Amino acid sequence: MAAFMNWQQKGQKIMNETIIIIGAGFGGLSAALTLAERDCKCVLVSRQPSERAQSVLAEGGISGALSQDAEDIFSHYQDTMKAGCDLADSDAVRRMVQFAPEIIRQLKALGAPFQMESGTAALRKLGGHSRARTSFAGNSTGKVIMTALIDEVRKKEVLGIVERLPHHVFESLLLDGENCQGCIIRDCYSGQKMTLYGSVILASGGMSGLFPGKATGGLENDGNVTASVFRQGVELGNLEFIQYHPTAVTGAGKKLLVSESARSHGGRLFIKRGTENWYFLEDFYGPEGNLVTRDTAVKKMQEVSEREDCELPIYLDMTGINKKVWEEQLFELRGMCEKFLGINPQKDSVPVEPAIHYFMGGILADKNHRTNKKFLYAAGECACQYHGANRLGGNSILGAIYGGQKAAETAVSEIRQFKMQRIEDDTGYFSAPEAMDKAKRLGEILEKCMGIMRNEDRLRSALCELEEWFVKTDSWVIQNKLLLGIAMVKSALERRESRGAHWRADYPREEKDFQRITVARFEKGKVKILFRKISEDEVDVG
Amino acid sequence: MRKYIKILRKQQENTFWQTFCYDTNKSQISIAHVLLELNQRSPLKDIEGKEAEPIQWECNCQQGKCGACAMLIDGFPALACEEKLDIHMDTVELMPLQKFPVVKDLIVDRSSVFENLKKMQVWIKGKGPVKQENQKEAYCASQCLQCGCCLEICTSYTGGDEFLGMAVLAPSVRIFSVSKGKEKDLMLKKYRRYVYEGCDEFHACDHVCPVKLPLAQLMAHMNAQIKKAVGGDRNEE
Repeated sequence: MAAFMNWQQKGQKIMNETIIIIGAGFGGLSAALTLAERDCKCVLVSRQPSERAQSVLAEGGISGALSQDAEDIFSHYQDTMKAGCDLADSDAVRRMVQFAPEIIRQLKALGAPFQMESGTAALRKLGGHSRARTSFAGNSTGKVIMTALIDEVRKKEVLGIVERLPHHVFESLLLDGENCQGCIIRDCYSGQKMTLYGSVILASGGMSGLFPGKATGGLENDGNVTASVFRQGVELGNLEFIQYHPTAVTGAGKKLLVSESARSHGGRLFIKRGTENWYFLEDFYGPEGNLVTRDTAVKKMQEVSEREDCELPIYLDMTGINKKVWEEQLFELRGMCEKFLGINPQKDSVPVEPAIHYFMGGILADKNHRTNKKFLYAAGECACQYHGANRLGGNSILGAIYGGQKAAETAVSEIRQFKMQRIEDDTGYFSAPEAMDKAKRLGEILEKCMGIMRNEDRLRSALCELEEWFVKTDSWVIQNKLLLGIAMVKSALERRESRGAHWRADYPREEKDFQRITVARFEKGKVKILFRKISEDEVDVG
Repeated sequence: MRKYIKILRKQQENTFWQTFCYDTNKSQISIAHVLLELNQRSPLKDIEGKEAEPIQWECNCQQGKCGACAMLIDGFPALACEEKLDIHMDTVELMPLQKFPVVKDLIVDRSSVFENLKKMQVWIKGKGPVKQENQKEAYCASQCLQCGCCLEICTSYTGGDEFLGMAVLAPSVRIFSVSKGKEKDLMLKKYRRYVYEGCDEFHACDHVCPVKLPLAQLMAHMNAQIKKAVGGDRNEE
């Protein structure tokens, strides 16, 4: 046990000037290392060790203009903003893309083995990028980066700067008015609750748990942290923007991703139209049509699958990819297709379908990663920042690592001495794991209305169902999840336009008036939705 | 296809076998899939019709990339998400890994794996990056899941302090591939003490590694470095 912590009776842990990080994936590890560099101690709380985090699933790569040429960086900025339909904070995006080459350099210095070609970095061009700028390591970019970060954090653990608390889950924040004083966590092995005092950085990942079986995210990413803090008054943003990835397949209890790198190296989507294989994206968008942004590809997939002359499923044809690329860059993808689908993608096309892959929305963070509660910060996929209405491939790892660093820097600059007395947890509950059938039911309701294409009727009907269920249930965890679901549906209802990943059949155009952040707030027992200009004044819509 | 899933369960201090009936007409079903479906039954009943608690087990990625779901399946360590049901006999036995303390049902506490990595000082002392000629080695060595399958099958690993097993090998090779001078020597010394001297070279680990790390090959690579170093010392003498 690190010397800076003093155990007291009744499971309380008292710390001074220590920062608590919830989540040990890219965002959490990046924050921990940044704090350690500044000699600031931290506790890294996670349900499972970092080796099991969803971050290890990231495949495509990390984007950044390695030339560091101003024009190249600006192009990365433009592509990110364009993909996000100008809904991201332009200043935050500018800073992120400017720092991207440095992050890749840092990861290389930690020994992350990015692929090289003739002594220079090999780069991929992913969907929506105007040029190749994504560094990668086969199809295991997430895994190799995580290994490098984990090894570095281990060094800090031994020095006593970082303390890990694996097999612990977040229960609730300790709030003193608008100030976050720490949080309550629970040991999954012993069931014991523990109170941690200090500033808190949330890096708890996306909300795939709201959609059991329908998302590519890890099964442990249950969205409980986001749901819990929302109920405690933490604002959420842009919840309606859910990225569907065009190429997923059904696995055990979740979807499996066929990485975008497949299309980057020549994979093509087609559907059967009569007797022909119709490569529809190429027909609609030209020879590079398979590399349009994910929202565009998914919408077109939806359209062609509804046509009477077309026959599902949609296939990903990777048979034209040359052998060298398979051997050097896509061998893991081939292994995944063989192992889990029984298909050799070098010989046969793979039937694919869109699946929930990423949540652009989440805990609303400013450009310094502060939330609306003092001393509470958010980074990584749980945070709403950088990706606007749709995320570009390769920007997820970048956003999480950069966000973790920024959140940590801000937290250190605002660090303070916490009072030594225990602050009572005002929620006063001990959460039991929710029953799987309830999680599944919630997922089914949300899926019906939060699919690729949405409309008012379906959203209203789902909202009624969720609100009725909320009144009837007395399970705290289910109530939290229902509130998060209600906030998501209400956000989608109020955004009466189509933008990026939010496609309303009844409001098909992008509207200038909606170039604002959707803010969800829980106050006085109700979920309220507001629209806030990216410059931060707001309009109340009820 | 009807299968009987026999699980060694631990609840509080009680350890007992419980069997569940599972019918499917699908092929390619994984053991993880079976466990997820059993837990979706409400209520979950065993073959005697007795109500059972949901089965506790760890999982996350369901595609062989996180190592959470390692367990003994018919006596062999494997990842439940990768192991297919139809290759097994009518009754499939699931047990928690036996070389780690059991927390509940199929969940074990693998913190010793991570403590061993600290003991081996698996981190880069200076700063990389990986040279192009070492890239493949470093890439391969980055893949270890720390799932514990290699330790479970190992005839030498007993969970003690002397032999740390193959779970420290691959991460050490990654560090070795980017280290220089004294750091390299230190890693080699630790490798010699905690891996080389305790390994009985039975290499069962090679056959169970879920990511198919070439463990014997990685060992041979490190052993060659030891020989080189010893040779160097002799020359100096």
